[in-house]
Amino acid sequence: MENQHYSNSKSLNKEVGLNCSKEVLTRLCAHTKLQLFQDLNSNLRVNEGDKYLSLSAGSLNINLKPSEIDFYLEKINSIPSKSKSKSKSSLANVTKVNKKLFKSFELIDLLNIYWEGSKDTIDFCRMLLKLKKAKNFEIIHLFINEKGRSQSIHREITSNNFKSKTIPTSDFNSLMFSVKKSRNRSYGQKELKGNEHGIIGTFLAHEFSLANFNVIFAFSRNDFLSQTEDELLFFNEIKLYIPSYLELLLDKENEFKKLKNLRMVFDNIPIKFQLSSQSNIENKANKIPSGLFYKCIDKELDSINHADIYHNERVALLGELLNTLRHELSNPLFGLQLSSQILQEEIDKDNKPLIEEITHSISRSQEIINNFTKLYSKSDEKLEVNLYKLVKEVLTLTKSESRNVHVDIDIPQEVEILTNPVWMAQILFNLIINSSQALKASNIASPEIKIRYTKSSESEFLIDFSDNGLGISKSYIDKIFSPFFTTKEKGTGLGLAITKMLVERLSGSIQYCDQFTGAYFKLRFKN
Amino acid sequence: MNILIIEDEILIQKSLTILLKKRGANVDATASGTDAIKLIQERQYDKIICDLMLQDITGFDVIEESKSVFTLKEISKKFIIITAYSSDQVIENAKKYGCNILNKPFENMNEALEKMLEIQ
Repeated sequence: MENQHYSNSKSLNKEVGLNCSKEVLTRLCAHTKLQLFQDLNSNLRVNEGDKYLSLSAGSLNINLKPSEIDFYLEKINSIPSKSKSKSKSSLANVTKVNKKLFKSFELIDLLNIYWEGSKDTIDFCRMLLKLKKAKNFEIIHLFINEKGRSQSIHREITSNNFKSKTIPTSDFNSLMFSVKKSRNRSYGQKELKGNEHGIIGTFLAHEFSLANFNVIFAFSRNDFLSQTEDELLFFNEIKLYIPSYLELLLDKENEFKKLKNLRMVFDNIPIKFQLSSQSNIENKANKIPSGLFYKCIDKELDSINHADIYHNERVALLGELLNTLRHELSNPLFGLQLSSQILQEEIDKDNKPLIEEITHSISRSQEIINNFTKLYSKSDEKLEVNLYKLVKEVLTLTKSESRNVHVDIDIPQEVEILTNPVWMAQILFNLIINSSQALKASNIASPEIKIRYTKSSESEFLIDFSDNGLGISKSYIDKIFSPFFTTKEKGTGLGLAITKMLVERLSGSIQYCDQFTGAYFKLRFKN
Repeated sequence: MNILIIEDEILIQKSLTILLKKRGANVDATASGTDAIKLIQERQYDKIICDLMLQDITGFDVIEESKSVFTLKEISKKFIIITAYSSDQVIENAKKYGCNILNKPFENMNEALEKMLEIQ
């Protein structure tokens, strides 16, 4: 399947053509509400003849492979700073032009400050209404027509209220025409008789033709008095740079809307999407801009990829943290070790046991640090590992959770397995922590965990991990290895997903058996 | 036996000094690498126990500077490096000079003390 490169067109609406396999296409068509999509103007077209999927919504780039859909989403909340359309539309240019023409910077400065906080046209209009010179204006009417659409929007914005309704574009157009014709921009109801514009009283209006929208902007006093000279001057000032702001705001709004629609569509098709920080998009013509990549993965692979990503990040982060910790703790522990050695040599017989306890604590502390560091070290190598010793080491790290649990280690002490000690340690660590927490929560009288090793054949061994708790409820069993599934209030839901991933990395398998009351995991490994 | 301890953590410096003195050694101690280099040039030491992380320079710098006084063979016999974690980098460097490395805290107290007191 070919990837089409993403066209770097000047307008925000980019169209990208793609090829996809028949299977994917069928699935998409069967479940995408294509009609709805089209109504919302997200430009999703499916051309079945050449199995061609075209998607456009702002800066969306779609790349289809047989079993994946990668698409790239530019940071949608960044407003394009350079629009290739007329230079007047760029913010920087606007303020430059106006600074030259006007001595009073009040409006410009205010507008620029407000700009940062303006989330959409409603906020923006409210800011305008707050301006001193606009104090007599109660309402701003915004008539918005996205070019090419048969429906337009009429927004009525006051300082604490907001109304929005759709109007036919034909009405919009006739209003636009009248407004354009007028010379002084000041209207009473007489001038626009016959237009269903819904503005009460006198108002000042101007029409703007932006790249993607036509807008009629009106300041309404909501009374029948005529505008003052000052107000006319003010309006003339303001109408010079309102269009630039409006353009950016409306484009942004539109982009968000389209994206929302696209997301809705993708949420409804039976292909899962997930975040990936990597992209497989090969873009020969253009550099790949930075952003988030959504990767669509087959259902079965979904869990592994998620777990993989989070696991790697976690290991890297914790590995670094632990290294720092180890370095910081080494000096104090060393000092303690040496001075307690001195005490041991100086102290009288009766107190010797106490000092020995101190020495013992110090070596325990160091052991814990070493074991934790090992747990999160980066390691791909397989070694001969003493399983009994490994389990014991991991147990020292789980003490905070497994304190009251009796752990029965049914593993011959001489057993050596060929495995990755770091991954195996993490697998055991996770299972022990999970069980311990569940046992604690269920208040079992004598909580117990059992870890048993059996050699099932020359090349295979089994590890049975069980506890005497309440087990996992039947309704959850098929979900427990899925990423983000958790029954704990503060759980991440990643523990078992990562465990399963690590087991499979070791060419093993893990299953949950619900034959017994407690939890029972069967792990199978090739030796 | 003359021993020099180069370590900037005072508790470690003092307790190590006491432990070695009790076992019959003459012990000098300093927290500064540059002072240590001077001492090495002025006095005779059978063993130099050197921490890697010092305030002014590193333990390896001290070893380099001591080449003006010692042969490579002497360096490998006299210097003992003490460090929090013997990473691959550290081990490689130590191999270059052929000297011993001890982790802090000691994995085995008696063995470590033995190493520090043996005359080679």
